Amino acid sequence: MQLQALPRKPPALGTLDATLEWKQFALRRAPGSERMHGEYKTPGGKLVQVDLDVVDGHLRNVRVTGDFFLEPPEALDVIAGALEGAPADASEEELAHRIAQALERLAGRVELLGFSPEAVARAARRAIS
Amino acid sequence: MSELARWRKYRWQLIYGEAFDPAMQMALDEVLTYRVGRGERPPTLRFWEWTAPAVVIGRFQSLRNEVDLEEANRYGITVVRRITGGGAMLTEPGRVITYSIYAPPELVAGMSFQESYAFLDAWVVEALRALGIDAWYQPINDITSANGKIGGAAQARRHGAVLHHTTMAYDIDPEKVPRVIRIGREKLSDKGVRSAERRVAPLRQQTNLPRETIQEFLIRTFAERHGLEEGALRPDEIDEARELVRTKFGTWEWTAILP
Repeated sequence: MQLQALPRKPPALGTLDATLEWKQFALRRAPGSERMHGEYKTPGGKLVQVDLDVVDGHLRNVRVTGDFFLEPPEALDVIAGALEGAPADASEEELAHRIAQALERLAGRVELLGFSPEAVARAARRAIS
Repeated sequence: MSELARWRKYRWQLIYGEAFDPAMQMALDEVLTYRVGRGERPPTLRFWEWTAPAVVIGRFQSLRNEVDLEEANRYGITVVRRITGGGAMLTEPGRVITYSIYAPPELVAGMSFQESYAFLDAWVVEALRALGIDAWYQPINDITSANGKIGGAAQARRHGAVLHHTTMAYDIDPEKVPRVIRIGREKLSDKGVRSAERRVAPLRQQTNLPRETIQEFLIRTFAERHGLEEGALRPDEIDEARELVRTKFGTWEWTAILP
């Protein structure tokens, strides 16, 4: 993305397009993309939050957070990375499959407690739709 | 092997008394986990004392999603991130009871993670019941009672050891918690009414006992059940923790690792 000149202050409320443009600049995002957010809480388990962008029909800059337990902690990057580049119209099952496969490829034992690949996939789907 | 036999295989050491600031508490947990994992210190039970209030967020939580930083700042509350997962909590000196268990993995060998939570807090549930509280373990990681939730635990398996720490409400300020910690609607989706979920039953209200009395009773229960020897933090452990505060737990890079 090309750096634009920063508007000196946020535009007045009511000028919707101008406001959006300023927000996108503030968030350092390409025009036309919007940061999306979805949440899902596994019954009896923990909350998963997914933030992502959809760029040209694919998931980008995926971030997974929540109050779940995960060992080792580095596996979080693998979970988020598994969704990176996925088609925005991928089903919940497809997204869950991508995560499960990526975790299987990890050497050593990975433990998810209070959530699952399916829970992350659901939160991601909710972010997109 | 019976539950008690598992505990009794080790010579447990107690660390108790000295107060530390929030970032130092996080650092001590990492240092002591590491030391126990390397066999440089015996399995240890540490009770925490706080010098300052804090919001402690879980390893995988988004800082801004969980904490209202402006409000926390207004109240003079530090925000720190711990190395274990789980949710955000507000801790204030004299208002919570927090302890850590640093143990070899063999203590919980053959158990699922979920089973190990209940196992590692069983002595506390037993002590609370002896104090007249109708308490039980609520999977995955809560200590609860007929009157409401008492506390929550979190674990990490790192450096060849198990870290299990638990915070219980002794005398929380019900006004302050929702001001600094955000709780979303989705989180409450399977818990019924919002007010019911938020209901916490602090130990002071349930026992009318001073905090120190409850803490000493917990320690006595652990000692009688598992055996426990007086111990202390070593100067080099404190030094190492201070260094970790400087390079990790006291830095914005760590606290905002998931902004």
